[in-house]
Amino acid sequence: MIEIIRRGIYTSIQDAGRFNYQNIGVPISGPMDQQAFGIANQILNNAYNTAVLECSFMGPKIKFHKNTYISIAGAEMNTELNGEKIKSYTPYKVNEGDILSMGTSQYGCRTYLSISGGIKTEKVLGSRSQFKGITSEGNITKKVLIPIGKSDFIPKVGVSLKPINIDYENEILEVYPGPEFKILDNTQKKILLENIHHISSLNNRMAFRLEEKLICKLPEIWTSPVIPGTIQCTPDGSLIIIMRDGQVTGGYPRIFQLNKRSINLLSQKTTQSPIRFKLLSKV
Amino acid sequence: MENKSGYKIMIINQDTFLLEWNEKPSEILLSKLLFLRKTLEKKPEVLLCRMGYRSLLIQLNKKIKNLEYWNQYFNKILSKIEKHKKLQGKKWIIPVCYENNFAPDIIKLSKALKLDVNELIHLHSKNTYKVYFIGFLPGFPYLSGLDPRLHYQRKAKPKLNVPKGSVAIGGKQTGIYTTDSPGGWHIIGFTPISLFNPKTSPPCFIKPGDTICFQKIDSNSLKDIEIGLQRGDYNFFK
Repeated sequence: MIEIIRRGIYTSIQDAGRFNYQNIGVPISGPMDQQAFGIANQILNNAYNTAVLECSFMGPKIKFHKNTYISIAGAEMNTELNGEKIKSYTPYKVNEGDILSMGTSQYGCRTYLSISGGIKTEKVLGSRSQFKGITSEGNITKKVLIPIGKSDFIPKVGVSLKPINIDYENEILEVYPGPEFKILDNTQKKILLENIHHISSLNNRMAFRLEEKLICKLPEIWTSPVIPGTIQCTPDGSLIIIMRDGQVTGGYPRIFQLNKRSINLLSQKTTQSPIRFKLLSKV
Repeated sequence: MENKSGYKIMIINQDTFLLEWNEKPSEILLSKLLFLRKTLEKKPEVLLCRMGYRSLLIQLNKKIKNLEYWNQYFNKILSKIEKHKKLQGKKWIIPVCYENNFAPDIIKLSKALKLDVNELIHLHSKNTYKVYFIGFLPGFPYLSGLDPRLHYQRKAKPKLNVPKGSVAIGGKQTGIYTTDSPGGWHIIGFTPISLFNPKTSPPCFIKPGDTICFQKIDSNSLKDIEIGLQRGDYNFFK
């Protein structure tokens, strides 16, 4: 078991996601930044689908009730184990009674805390990822005990890990043209592709809304499927980027589709972060 | 890419296509989509098919290598469809209590539509509705068949919390909120029937191609139905 002493700003349990239920309206969920999630698990030789804690903006304070190994990846949160600072992308041994305390994010927004053997909460529709209406809680809302698996990690002595540098300040998001891209005129396309845009305060696991509006009068469309990374343009010109917990269908024109790398990068950005779109012609 | 089956095929990302038909949603198109989906779901490379009013999103478990191969394959399936076969969905009767306590927006909406409240209820409960697909919220059915006299624009400011079970009208559509959710539709009633439960298998009993009718009930019958549902002896399948 691990005990959540302080929950942080928005901490949730995430495995790779809830696949195969989008046709009945269930979002895919899973980690916002799949790359950092994957690395956190890889460091401990955990299987890709192992459930971790996704910590946003400010991480939790946790007491361990079992000996195990942990690793952190993603945003830098000045994490301390028993008061001593620990590094990202490195396995650490923790003992029963140890306290892990994660601070506020300095670089990036989302940090993944992986535990050897993984978090073992109940699966709902094939996944442990928390989502309101599917799992009993949509995120870690209070001081709770969370079951964890048995650690089978054997650290390799004398093997140093390659330092991992991911540029979360890169402003460029790569996009494919969306199904309704062609209804934009040249001026609108130019504005979208040449201007710098900013993320508004409406950004969460469901969607990111951008600050700048596009001057346009686009029609609504017959409701059609959307996926994480789909960028919709509302009748008032707001640009909305669907994220991992986003709805599965939408009625607004889909002007762009982020590639997978760019969804991960966007997940590490927040209110006021500048972004630019780069159009990829070929998938 | 346009082709003889009347759809355009578009690549969304490395493993996902979208097929979109350039025609108004109809039961004929719905049966095409359902036929294509049923066939594709048997194909091992196809991870998931998701529907819209006139579109199908197909996700593969591998990268799309040859678009033309898939295009021909979809055409071949569609050429086999039996044109005059009627959709064979199930029919569900959903009890709805339209009394004011359960219908916070019914008076406002009836005034805006220049209808008597009873007329509004009659127009809403007399029609049968076709389920086109599930989306927006877990288990939320997109229905067609709302009487044009009940079409009304969504609220300018969505409500932060619409309770599960709310029956509502928004634009040209009517729907049932399957979980608590923010929403901009006008709430005209409440159903005790739970359309989505992640703990049951399947979690959502209503499927595209099925038909729904709303049956007007009073608050006493609502209580009886709630008791019946708890006991497990209430039947709403026709």
